[in-house]
Amino acid sequence: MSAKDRETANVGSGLWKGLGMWAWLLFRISGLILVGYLFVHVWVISQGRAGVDELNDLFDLFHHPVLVFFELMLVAAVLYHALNGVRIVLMDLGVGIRQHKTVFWAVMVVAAATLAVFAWQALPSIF
Amino acid sequence: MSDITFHVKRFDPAVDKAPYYQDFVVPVEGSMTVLEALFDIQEKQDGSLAFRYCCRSSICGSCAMYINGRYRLACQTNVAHMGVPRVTVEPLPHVPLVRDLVWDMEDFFVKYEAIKPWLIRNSALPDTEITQSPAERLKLNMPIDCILCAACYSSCPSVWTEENYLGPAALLKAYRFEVDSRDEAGRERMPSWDNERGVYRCHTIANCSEACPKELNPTEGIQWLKGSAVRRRLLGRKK
Amino acid sequence: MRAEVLAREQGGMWPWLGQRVTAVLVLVTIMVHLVLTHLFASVPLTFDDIGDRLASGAVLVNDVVLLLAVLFHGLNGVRMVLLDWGLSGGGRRVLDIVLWAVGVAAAAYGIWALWVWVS
Repeated sequence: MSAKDRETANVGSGLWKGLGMWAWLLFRISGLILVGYLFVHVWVISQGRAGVDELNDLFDLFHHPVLVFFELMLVAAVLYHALNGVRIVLMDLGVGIRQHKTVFWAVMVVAAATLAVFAWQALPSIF
Repeated sequence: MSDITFHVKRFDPAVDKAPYYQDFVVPVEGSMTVLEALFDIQEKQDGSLAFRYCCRSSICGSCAMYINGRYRLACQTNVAHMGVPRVTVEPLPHVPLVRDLVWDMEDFFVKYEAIKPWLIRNSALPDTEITQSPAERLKLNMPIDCILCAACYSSCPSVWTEENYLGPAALLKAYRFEVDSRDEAGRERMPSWDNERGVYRCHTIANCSEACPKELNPTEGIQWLKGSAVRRRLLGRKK
Repeated sequence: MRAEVLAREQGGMWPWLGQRVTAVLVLVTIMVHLVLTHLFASVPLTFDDIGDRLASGAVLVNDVVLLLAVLFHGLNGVRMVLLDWGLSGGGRRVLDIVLWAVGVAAAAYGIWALWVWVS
């Protein structure tokens, strides 16, 4: 009997409570969101080709409270992805492999502080 | 002495359609381990209970199980120290089941063999031992303690999603030989691990280091291998 | 099983290393990009603001490097996700071709879009 035909044991168990696991999943999800945004962003800027007013009208849309909120979420995704990425690159350089959880919380403090600054600026536009 | 309930996962593919749990009450005394409790169940309550074991002293790696939601060696787990009235015993997660707590390790060992887990020598063998400095030996201290229990292998999301990924145990062994000053493999061993079913499938999630009952750090070894591939290709280094 | 494990497609260092190199490039250029666009810029943002910034050669180079690096990084990331979903063999080769085509087209489109302000 080959392994493929066998029942798989305890699917869903494992280390779902491991911090590295959640950090990785969020890293993936934020990455995919940012790829989506990248294409939207390139398209928006390319509307400059249509004319000065067309682009400026498009920019005006971004002052809508909902879009300002989405933009804040985007900033959160960028910060998470960038700072967790710093942790990953450090681990690739052999730095902090055993302390990866401590490094994770350290970079998350930086991310949260930066996000707070952006949120402070954005809140008046949302409410 | 206290009565402890063992909540054991059972499965016999010849009879059962799906795995189920069965409770056994075992009088636990002294420093009884989970493995000893399983013996007790097998001898006195249900002779059909299947599990793997060998050395009973945490050096053979046969009895790795998922005990109360943690990767442990059954022979190394003192029941009284767990301090709970109920102990759940399951086979390692995400691996092909054979029966009860026994799983099919064939793929695991094929992958282990694939990385050529032996010293490769090209120069003539000296008349005496091949010597090593204390500093060189120190590099082996961590990876050499691996007992191939496969707890890391079972905990790795990259193993869950890619059946041909070598997994942390085989890669840690590759590291153990590549980093050995006596090894002269050069690039001979590299094709086994320097690819996307090898080290590049590792996303530094580090579940393996968390699961390891011997408290080793496979992530560290895999990261060294990635760096080594870059050093060899781009800087012309030997290791 | 034995044959499948032992026969493995070689390569993988370049996508892995490329992801790290572009990560660092993106990190640096995106900070310049964001600071210039959001910290030292007029609110609200207009067509002419973009022109003012891109008039500087250094900013133009920064943004083009960012565009190229982030496209590689993003599409290579998509590739990594799809490989983890179980894509291999022929499917992987098709995916590589598709992603390169998308990347080159998007890079060309992005630079073409920016050139409104340069020319």
